Amino acid sequence: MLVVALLLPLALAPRPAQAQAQSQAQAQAKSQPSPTPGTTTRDTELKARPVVDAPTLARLPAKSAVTIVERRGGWLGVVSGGKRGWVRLLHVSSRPVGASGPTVRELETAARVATGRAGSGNVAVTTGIRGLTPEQLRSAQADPSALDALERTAVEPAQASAYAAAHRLARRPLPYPPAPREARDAPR
Amino acid sequence: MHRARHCLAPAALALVLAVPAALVAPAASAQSVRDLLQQRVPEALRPALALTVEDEIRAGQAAAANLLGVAPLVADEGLQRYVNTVGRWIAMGSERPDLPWRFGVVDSADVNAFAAPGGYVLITRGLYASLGDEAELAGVLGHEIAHVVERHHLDLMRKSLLLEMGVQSLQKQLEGDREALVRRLVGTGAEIFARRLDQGAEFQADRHGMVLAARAGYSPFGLPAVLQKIASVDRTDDRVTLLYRTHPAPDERLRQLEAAFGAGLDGLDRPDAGGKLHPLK
Repeated sequence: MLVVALLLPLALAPRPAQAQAQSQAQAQAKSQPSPTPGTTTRDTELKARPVVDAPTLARLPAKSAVTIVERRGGWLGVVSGGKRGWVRLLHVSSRPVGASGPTVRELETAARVATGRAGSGNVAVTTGIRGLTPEQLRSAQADPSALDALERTAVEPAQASAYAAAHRLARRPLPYPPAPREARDAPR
Repeated sequence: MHRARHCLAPAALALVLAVPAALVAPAASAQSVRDLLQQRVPEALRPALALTVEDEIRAGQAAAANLLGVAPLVADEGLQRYVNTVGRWIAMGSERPDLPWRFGVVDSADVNAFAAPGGYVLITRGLYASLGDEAELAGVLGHEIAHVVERHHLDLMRKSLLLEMGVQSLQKQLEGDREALVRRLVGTGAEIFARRLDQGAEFQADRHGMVLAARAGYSPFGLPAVLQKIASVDRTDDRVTLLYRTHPAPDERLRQLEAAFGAGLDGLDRPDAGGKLHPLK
């Protein structure tokens, strides 16, 4: 079931404008969401490729409906108004399946049939145990032996650095940005 | 001036605690009490409430142990070591690299992650299962690491204790039994994880979490990608109830991130960086 779920978005999605090497597509397949309805949170551009200087296919005003079919770094592969393209990830908010256009419904129905998911996107359905409640948390009793287990699997800086070096994780200096004076759109 | 400021807060506290009206300064309006409750610990009172890093670590340890009583660690040492490796590497790029950082995946379907003071970070199996790649894990851990670095939960514990005990008796407590102090800081069970930080603290942890992931060499966009996944879950699903109760809505968090960063992260994507997510059994 997992494999189906992971491959489905690619199967449903129109081919990317620029087919990258297949191995790269496969490497990224696991990070792809199943088709999810989304809305643009501000005016933005639908780009032909996931780069800033790619040609603009369409201008999307704030609150445009999109169907998210793929993610690549800071870009989302979307379908909007029948066009397949890329928008900046931070310009889109997703939402549960609900009042959305026929394209979204079509994709979601297909996803639901193929994967058995309840159409809620990417959080896998589980059975039995459910969420944590404040009451459970308040009545929690310490498990001191769990602290020992936590200690046992601790990792020291040298081990973490070795992992980083082996996986192309290079340290980069980057300051924290200040808090925005105000969000561009006031909360509803 | 100093004396006046010192006196105002206890007066407001007294009101909160419904101490007889004679003790309450007439100037302490309901508004000022609300202000006090919403503030972080006032600067003037911080020296009086000084906690050592040891206090902080012991409080975090106790809170984590209580949480583990409800949601035990997933019994998979490979998974736990993996999450510790990624988490440690990110924390090493923070302003508090020397805390005894400990990370864990806990066995709950709830979609959530928790930060306890002193460097204890726990992520639920439910959230881990929804991650698509290591950059997304880095974003989630970065957010929690930022809470620890900024001492958000420690401040919340300290403020609660201040409201509960008042300044004088808290000062006395600080001079006395540290173990009792830590116990009182932690409160009942794992209740600290059911409480809501002010939303400014959450937005800050989001911004810093993205930066911490990027400093560690990951794409910074893992965290907003996870927020989008959470936004796509029906909020009546009880696996996200606690998250919505304790955090601003994900679409508002995304809006805040966009307002803070704009296009400022262009060029920081690193699609090839990082390892593979350790699979859940």
